[in-house]
Amino acid sequence: MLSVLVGCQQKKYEKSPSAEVVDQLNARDYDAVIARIDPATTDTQQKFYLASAYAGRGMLDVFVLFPLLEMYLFNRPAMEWDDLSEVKDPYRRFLRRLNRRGAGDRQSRQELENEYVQRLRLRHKMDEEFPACPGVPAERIEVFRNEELRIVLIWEQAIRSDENIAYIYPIYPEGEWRQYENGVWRNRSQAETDCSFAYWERLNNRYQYYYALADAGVGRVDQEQDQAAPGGDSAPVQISAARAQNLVMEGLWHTYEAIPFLERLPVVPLAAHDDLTRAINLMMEVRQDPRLRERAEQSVVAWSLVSILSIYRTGFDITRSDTMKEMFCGFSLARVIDFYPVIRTRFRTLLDLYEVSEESSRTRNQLNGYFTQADQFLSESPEHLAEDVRAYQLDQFRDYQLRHCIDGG
Amino acid sequence: MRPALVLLLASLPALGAPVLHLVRPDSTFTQISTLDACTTFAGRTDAPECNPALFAGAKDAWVRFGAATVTDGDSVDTGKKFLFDSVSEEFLREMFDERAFVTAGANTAIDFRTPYFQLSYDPVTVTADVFVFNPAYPEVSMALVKTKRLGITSGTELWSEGTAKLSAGGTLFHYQRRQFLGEFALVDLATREVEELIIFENESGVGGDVGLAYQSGHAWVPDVSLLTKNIGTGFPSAEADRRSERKLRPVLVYETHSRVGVGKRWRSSWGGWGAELSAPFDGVFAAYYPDYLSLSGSYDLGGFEWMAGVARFQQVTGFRFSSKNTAVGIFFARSQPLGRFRDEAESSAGVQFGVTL
Repeated sequence: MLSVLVGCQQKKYEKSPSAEVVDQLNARDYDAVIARIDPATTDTQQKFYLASAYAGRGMLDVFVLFPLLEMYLFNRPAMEWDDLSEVKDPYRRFLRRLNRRGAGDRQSRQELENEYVQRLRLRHKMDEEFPACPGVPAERIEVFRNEELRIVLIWEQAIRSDENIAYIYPIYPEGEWRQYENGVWRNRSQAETDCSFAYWERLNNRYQYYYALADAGVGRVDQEQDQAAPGGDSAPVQISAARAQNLVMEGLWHTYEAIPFLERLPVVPLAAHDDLTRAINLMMEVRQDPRLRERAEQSVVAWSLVSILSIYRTGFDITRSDTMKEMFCGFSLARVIDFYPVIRTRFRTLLDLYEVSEESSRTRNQLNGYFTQADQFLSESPEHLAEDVRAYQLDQFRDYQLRHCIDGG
Repeated sequence: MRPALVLLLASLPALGAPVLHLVRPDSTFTQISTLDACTTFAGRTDAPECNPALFAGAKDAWVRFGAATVTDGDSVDTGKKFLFDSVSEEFLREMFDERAFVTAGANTAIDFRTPYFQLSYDPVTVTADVFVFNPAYPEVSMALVKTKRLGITSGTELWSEGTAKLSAGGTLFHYQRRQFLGEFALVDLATREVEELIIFENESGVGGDVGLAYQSGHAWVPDVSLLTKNIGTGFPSAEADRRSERKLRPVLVYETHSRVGVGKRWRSSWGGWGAELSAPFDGVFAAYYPDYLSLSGSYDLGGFEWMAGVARFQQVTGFRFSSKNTAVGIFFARSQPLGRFRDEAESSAGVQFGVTL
């Protein structure tokens, strides 16, 4: 009998746990991946997947990032925000539409004007009654009131005719409220002194009020709009050269141009930012592995920047931003300021990454443009916003916002 | 007493993403439709492509042009969209939800046969595999391989007794191969040119196939064949890469692999029948792939042929109509190219044209 014995190995390609993780990621079953992988794992590839799952659960995945990728792939890098208006792309039509004065502009402006006037009236106590001035004869009080009415009339006229508001000293017949005693003029009584101060203070408040109105252009809006937009809704928004130099407006312009991108960014709730923070922190650990360093760093940069942008985007009511002014005027700092700690964390991470990244790496090159801004922001802003500081900042910004929103220039 | 062939199998489980293909370099209709389980199918005009040892029986001379491609299928549709349409968000969703893996293949061949040798020129064989994964940080894994081969095949009878005979044959070929086997992140496309990301390697050299065929000549004793393909081609297909869930490596296509075939063909007035069980091995009979064991069947009558191949992850059936000078084959396949790695199944259809002068 002849027997031939042939020994050989058998080879099967079983599905690995890592392959199952990849399947779960592709199925966007991020919870399953998070439950499956131990965060303390020393396997950097697994940690990479875990970070990806956290990012996905934090609402940052390819579908969310698609507008960014789209701009990257088919247009210019959105992150640079440079002169997107020149780009011949599907957004051009969108931008053209935005460049036309929206139908809701006047209504929106009227709302803002009303809010501004209300804030000014409150601040400058415009609705208070005349001071009662007890102990002062009625005819004397009448003098104060009449003079105030005369001056206010002048200011109102100035506003209507678009003239500057100048302070006007009240003119009182001196004999009526002062008397000459021992070589000097004195008020007739302490009550009259107090009364004259109260009316002076009241007049000064009114001056501040009308000055602010004039400064914001309240009262000449309709006339300007009629001149500026004789053709109705199709007249393009004119932005003066002087204003274009303004840093704020420049930033707004970039934002305005990026609306097509911004409006597709998710509004990531605060809790989801915790997941993003975990994802970013894990990637900072993954970058210790030279094999995955570049990918990890790229993830940190992309997720951090998109996270910041999504926070920025929460401040805007993009659906009502038919014009750049509407976009700015509709911006809510209050909504953004809730994310203040997150913003600081993101900037801190980017700075940390900048510092540890290799000199000639892509990451370093990408972050070069943001380093100064991030560093400046971190050094000039407090670690935590106290409640009173927060309220003050919100108030100041709203004032600034309203003043510019009502100003027709 | 007949020799007993006993295979002692030791299990070596591996993890990874080897990719199965229907179309391979020099693939003929028969090879595609039988999943290469045709190494004992002697007497056919395309038998030497199945196993060079079967050249020994060839007596005719001709020139043949052939081409095979998968022309329709889920992957083909996705591939067309990927290449020719803008990548939309919907398309990306479709890719992740339904078709994260895309595969395609095509080849061409010109063969010149004499009674002594066969010259084969394969101007281009292309296989393309793309896998997109991790939507949170999308990465693309690719295996793009393009080869060109010029080969010579011959074979001879080593031994014969009655109707039984043992023959051997070989193919020596020169190959030029361009390949990209790698991964990159989708966001890399933003900052880098495609040429920077997909860097093709160029390789060339001489490789060979060697085959043995035993034809029993007895109605109930099967024919047996041994075949090793792509010896010396050095295709980069390290085990570690096959184990990685991030890498794609075509298997049983470009790398050195072997087959043991046990088959039989019968001929009657009702036509010809054939069947083969083909066991593939990695390397030169180094490790047996039980998952890729394939069984084929064939039937021909006049100018009509039907063939089918069944394996765990691939099923194909094909029909061919031949005249004196032309042959048109159509095949339909259902495959799970990534095997156990991914359940994604691919339905496809393909054509093979041949002109014989």
